[in-house]
Amino acid sequence: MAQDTDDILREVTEKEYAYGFVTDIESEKAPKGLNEDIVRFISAKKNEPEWMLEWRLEAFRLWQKMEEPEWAHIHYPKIDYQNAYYYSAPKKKPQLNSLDEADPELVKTFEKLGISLEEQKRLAGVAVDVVFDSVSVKTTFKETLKEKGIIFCAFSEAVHEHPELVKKYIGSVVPRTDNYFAALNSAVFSDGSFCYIPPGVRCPMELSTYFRINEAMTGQFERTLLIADEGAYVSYLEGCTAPIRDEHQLHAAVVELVALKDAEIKYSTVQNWYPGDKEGKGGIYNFVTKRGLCLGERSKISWTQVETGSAITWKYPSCVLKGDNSIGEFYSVAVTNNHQQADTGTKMVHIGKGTKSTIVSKGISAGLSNNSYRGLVKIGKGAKGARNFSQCDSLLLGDRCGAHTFPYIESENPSAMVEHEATTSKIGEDQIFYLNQRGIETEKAVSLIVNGYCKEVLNQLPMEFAVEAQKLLAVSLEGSVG
Amino acid sequence: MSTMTATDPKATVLPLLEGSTWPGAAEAFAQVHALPVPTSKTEAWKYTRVGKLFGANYAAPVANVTAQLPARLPFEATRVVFVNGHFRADLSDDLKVQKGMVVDSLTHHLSHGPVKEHYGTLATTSERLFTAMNTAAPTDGLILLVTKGVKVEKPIHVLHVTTSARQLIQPRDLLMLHEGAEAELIIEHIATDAPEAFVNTVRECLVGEGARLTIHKLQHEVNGPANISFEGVRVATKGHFGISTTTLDGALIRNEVKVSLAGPEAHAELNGVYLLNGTTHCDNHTYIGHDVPDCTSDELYKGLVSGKGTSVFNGKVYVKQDAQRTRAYQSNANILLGDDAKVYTKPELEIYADDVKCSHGCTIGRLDEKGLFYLRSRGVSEAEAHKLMAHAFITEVVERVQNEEWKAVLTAIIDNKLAQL
Repeated sequence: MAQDTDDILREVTEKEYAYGFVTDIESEKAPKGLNEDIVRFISAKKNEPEWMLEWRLEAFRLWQKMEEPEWAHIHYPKIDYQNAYYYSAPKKKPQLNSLDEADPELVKTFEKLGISLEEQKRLAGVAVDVVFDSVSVKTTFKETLKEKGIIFCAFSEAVHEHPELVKKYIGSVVPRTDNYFAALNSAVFSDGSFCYIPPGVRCPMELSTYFRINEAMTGQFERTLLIADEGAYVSYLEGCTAPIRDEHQLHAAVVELVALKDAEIKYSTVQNWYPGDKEGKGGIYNFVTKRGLCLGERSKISWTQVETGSAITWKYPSCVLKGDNSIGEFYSVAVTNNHQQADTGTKMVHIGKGTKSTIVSKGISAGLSNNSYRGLVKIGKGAKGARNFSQCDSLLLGDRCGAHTFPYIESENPSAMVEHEATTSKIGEDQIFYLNQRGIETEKAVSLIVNGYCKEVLNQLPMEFAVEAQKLLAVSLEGSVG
Repeated sequence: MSTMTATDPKATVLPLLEGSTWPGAAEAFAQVHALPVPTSKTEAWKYTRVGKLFGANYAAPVANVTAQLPARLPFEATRVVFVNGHFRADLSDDLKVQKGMVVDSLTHHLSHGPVKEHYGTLATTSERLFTAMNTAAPTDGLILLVTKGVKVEKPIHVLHVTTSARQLIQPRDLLMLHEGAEAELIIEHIATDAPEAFVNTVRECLVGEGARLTIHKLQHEVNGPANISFEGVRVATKGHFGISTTTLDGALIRNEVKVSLAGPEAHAELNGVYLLNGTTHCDNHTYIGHDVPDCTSDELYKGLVSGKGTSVFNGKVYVKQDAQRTRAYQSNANILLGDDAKVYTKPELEIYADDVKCSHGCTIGRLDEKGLFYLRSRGVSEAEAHKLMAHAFITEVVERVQNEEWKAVLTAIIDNKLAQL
């Protein structure tokens, strides 16, 4: 049986990316490199107002003074920021009313991914704002949302049509000075999604953006801003895949969430970008700053992520719990294989009274990969009666991978309660034996155990996403979980 | 940063570190020049600020002063006394206690083979400023050498007394246990009116095959010095290393323990109790390297923090590739009692082998309300109820002490301190 397990693990670790393909759509690029002119070029391309350009330029100046962080448990060759394209947009950009008008190549891409717009449309109540290499091409279900007063559009559109909201909230959760990659994004962000849910409105469908990185050597700099006004509710889905490329691609996104009084935001991500081949060649560098601000009393922000892709993942979806009795949640499954490196986790910053947070993180490492959980739980002086529970588990498949845990826990209030626990182990031989004994072959057994191990997190995903996430887990560990 | 400038904060200590004839002193002195003073941006010192230690000039450790010694322990032990880091034969017991072992001032043995062979091997000067400082000019220290199969009969009670302010004291110990040897040390730090003194200790411990070294550290330095210490430990096959640190009083305390489990079936047990009030800052920093397969480690640190006290815990378990069948447990529990008290804890796991069982847990909270209510409803006063609950919380760690006589002494000392929180 040991031999079987070894074979299966070898298969797992040698599994290549199933979603690799290149869509042949002509695209328009900015010249290589990064300077103030490129920032102006991007801003001009998007026909932005003066205040937006100034905001970008200020970010660029700040970025130049900053240093790339080195504290994460990841290793990669120095990125040459001057040797990349910072803007690329599909050339044809017609205003579409239906899917029939969309570029057939584009439709094919989604069909290959198994999430064609047709299918999406059929799935009950999912509106998709398709982000195809940085520019929103298509937004569906807009009309339905409009009736409720919900704004769901491309970021660039929001800059023109809702400047007051953008001005008020952009950078309010992730300031330009927050970190190196956030500053870079603020200077050159290409596009992204903007969403506003008015007071008391419960968004009738799950909002979804499909991200695709398509052009070789273009960093994609998404920027998402999501505001839930008083008493509003929204569930937002974000999913990603990208085709095979030899050169590393840089992705530095910023996501800002704001929840006002009694509002609730549920943000779910499935990330399956190209992780590089089994030699560790290629793959996406994913440096993302995601943060939610629970501004009002009793507001709630919940992050759920399934991370299976990218050569490097540097991502800490966080909650700042400012409003009294606000709630933050983080549920994560991170799978690394081959040469992948992930340094991911969350920050829960408790400021308001009676704030609560829950962290459940499940890491799975295979092949030669390294998977780290890095988290911060901070209880401020005024966070009376704050409560946190964290659980971080790591599962090791193979003896050449690494699993690491770096939790930071800080408390300055005597009435707060913080609990953290972490475990690291491999799949129990006894568990496999138990299943074998009942006629379940090893491959299936491993699949069952991994699924059970992640269940706590997968259960948090909306139905449609949960199906896809399970598919991704299976693909990522194919051979053992079939 | 690598060259000394007029504003180098280390200027306050440099004059005291020059010209020592101890092994490796000159090289270490050069390292002191090269290494920067850690700041809050230095990851290992994130929560412990040491800049203020370099704020003013220090005097050399004061020798030949009269010192008030506490009463002897109520059980048989060999007492070794250091006053301001200097070994005091006049205050110590007769150290020729047993055949097959050497316990003495390290200064007298620097030219001896085992010292030459092992001195400095577990405390490298290239990265840690305080180790470099200590190595550049050690004051004196303890040598303990126990030869093959010898079991030291009586515990060795090492008493460090600091008697006056603003002096830089650098104790340097070397403990070597050969195959199957056993020894137990009680290392006690006390101070009499010695604010702003700075005790910078480095202790190297070699635990041989199947040997067993147990250290009990007790820190109660009222109005005392800053106490920065480093224990470098190497445990060979089937060896056993245990250290339990009890911190009760002090200004700025940093206890660093770095253990390498270097032979199969080696075991390390690290325990800690800290009861902090006033402005005491206590930082327990541990690193356990599982370098080979089949080793085990167990860590348990618990404490109560009141007043303006601060507790820091940073424990790292590192499992090397192919160190299979490792079992490592780590736990840190804190109770905050004061509005101005702070706890920062960071348990870390870094694992490169798959057949392992590693876990860590940590909690920060308050005394259990239900338990307090239960006691109050049965007529126990609030203060007494608190004391009982706190005692129960700490007992789990104290229970791990195997020397019953020392356990009784320690329990009394802890209960006395609990009454002050």
